[in-house]
Amino acid sequence: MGLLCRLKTLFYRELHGFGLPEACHSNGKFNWANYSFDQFRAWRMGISKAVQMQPFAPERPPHEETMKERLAEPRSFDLYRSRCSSDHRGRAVAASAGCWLNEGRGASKWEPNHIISDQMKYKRNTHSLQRNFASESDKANENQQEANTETISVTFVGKDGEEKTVKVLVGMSMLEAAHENDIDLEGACEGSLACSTCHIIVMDDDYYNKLPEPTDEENDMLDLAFGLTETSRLGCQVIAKPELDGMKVALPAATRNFAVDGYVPKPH
Amino acid sequence: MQVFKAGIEMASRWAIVCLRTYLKGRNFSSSCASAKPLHVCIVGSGPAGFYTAEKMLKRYEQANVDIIERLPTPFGLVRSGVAPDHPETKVVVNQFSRVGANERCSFFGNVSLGKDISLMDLHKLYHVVVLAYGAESDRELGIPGENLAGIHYAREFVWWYNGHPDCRYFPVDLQSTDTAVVLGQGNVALDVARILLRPLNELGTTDIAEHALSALQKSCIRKVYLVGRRGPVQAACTAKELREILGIQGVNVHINEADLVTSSLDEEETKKNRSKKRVYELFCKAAKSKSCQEFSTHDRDLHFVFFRKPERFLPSIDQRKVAGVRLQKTILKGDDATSYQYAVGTGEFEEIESGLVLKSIGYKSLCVDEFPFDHNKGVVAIKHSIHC
Repeated sequence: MGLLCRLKTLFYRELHGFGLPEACHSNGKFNWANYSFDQFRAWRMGISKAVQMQPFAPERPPHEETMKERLAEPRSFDLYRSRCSSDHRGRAVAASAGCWLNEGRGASKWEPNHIISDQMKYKRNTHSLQRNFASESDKANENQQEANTETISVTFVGKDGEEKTVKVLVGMSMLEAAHENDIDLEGACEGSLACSTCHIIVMDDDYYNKLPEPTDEENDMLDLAFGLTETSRLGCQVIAKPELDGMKVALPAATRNFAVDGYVPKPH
Repeated sequence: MQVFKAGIEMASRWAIVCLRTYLKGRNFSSSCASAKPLHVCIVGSGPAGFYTAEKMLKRYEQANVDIIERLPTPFGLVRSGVAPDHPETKVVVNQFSRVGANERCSFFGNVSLGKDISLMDLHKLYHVVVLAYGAESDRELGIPGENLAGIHYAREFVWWYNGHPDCRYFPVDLQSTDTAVVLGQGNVALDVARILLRPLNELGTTDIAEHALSALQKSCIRKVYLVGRRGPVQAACTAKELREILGIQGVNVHINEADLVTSSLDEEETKKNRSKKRVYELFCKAAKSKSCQEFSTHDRDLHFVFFRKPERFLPSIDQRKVAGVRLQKTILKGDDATSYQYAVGTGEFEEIESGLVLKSIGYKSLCVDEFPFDHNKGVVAIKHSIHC
């Protein structure tokens, strides 16, 4: 029997000793609507001794006021299946963090990352808007090539040598192009020059020289990049232009964020 | 950002050890269509935990990942370690949220390893257990006077201004003294100095904790000393943070030009390491530009003190609070084998008067349950050295 099967059997056997209200219907069957299996599992491991269990109510999001009250008392939090996502429960988790982070100012304080991610979304939407607009006007002016429909061809070479040639809109960064084409280029800070995870290596010196000089901020981030080369750049800062048509960029073997891979701390 | 080093290194090595042991025992194949689910538990929901979860979920279709965290909310140091005036670094939370939203991934807050659940229990329930709970303790200096009031760990100060629940009532006194001494010259030391010196109108627009902002509004700190036992070439900070602190409005930066003289070993270090070279160049540029200004026009001062290591803390008259730090001058001595340069005391001393000392000299992990732990280094003891 699998692990989960064994647990479920144990669980049914111990219905009487469950100790949680409304866990069972009157016919003795477990009330799955109110409790999740994971909550049972956590209780079974003895966690409920430290934490009060509350019924799992997927339709009713925890109200922010209730969260504030709960957080007023230390260590009496509920063990709930919290998902750190953008759904209502995820935002409730973020809101509660905002509550203890900033008493009085509330959850609205934890906005910087949303503002930045909104900017990136705006940038992406602008690109797609340009494309839509261009495709309509193209029908009218077939011979005229407008700058915002112009695409260049860029080849991404993966860690294992696999090549993928994609069409990149002029004005789009290499990071955005990689994300649009499902290429595995991480952009942890979403293009705000706070990490080195979109590190790419321009394989041809000619194309590297056509790029504008990196700014001090980009150089600061490149300092931390894994596998830095003479022709390394950050993908979020390389913007497509007609002169870069046919460029080949390689992804490094690994990236480094919040850590230094393989780093051996030296004794002082 | 280097503060995450201990955590992620530990987490990834432990993950690979557990995974390999499991795979050896079970003949598990990820390419097998009828393979059983792989249950993974990750202890700690900081960047180490989430990156491990992301890689696990991507690599194994059958992997189910549970992340447990002792706080009710996730993200670890991204929330409690990154300075409030660096919101762009916190954008990575979006990526972590996407990992958490995966149906094969669950987050359990308020579950503490050792208190609520033991490692033995986790081993019974999961195939793989990853320890990614980071390093929440600090290295000690081991010098006289370390127990005086007014001497704190930089980690607690950072938790305090970031609103971490463990340091909500951190007893930091910013009003009884106008000088703060920060021991260490890493990015954490620079963060702490920057928060103490930054103009309040700029701090007010960040997500700094309310109690910290009101304490900083009443703060009397006007001078901050960043003390390092070696030179500018060996400073552990990175160029971005250094550039930022040198450019704060309303702060005079003091760098002694005599400290910028380099030896041949220093030059070798800067040649090998691009980051160190740029940091050193920033120090030189700052020293030259500031030395041209004879009269200080601003009311706040930042002093970079090199080649000094703390020898003892000087108590106040009532012997309870710290009143100053006694520093010993050092010179660098190179190790021929490793070309590493050690700071060696010269027997000359000087003193800095200060009522607030923040120690930013490194971190240690905590042993929360019964598993092999190296108490000297403060890391989980791993038998096999694995690079991943």
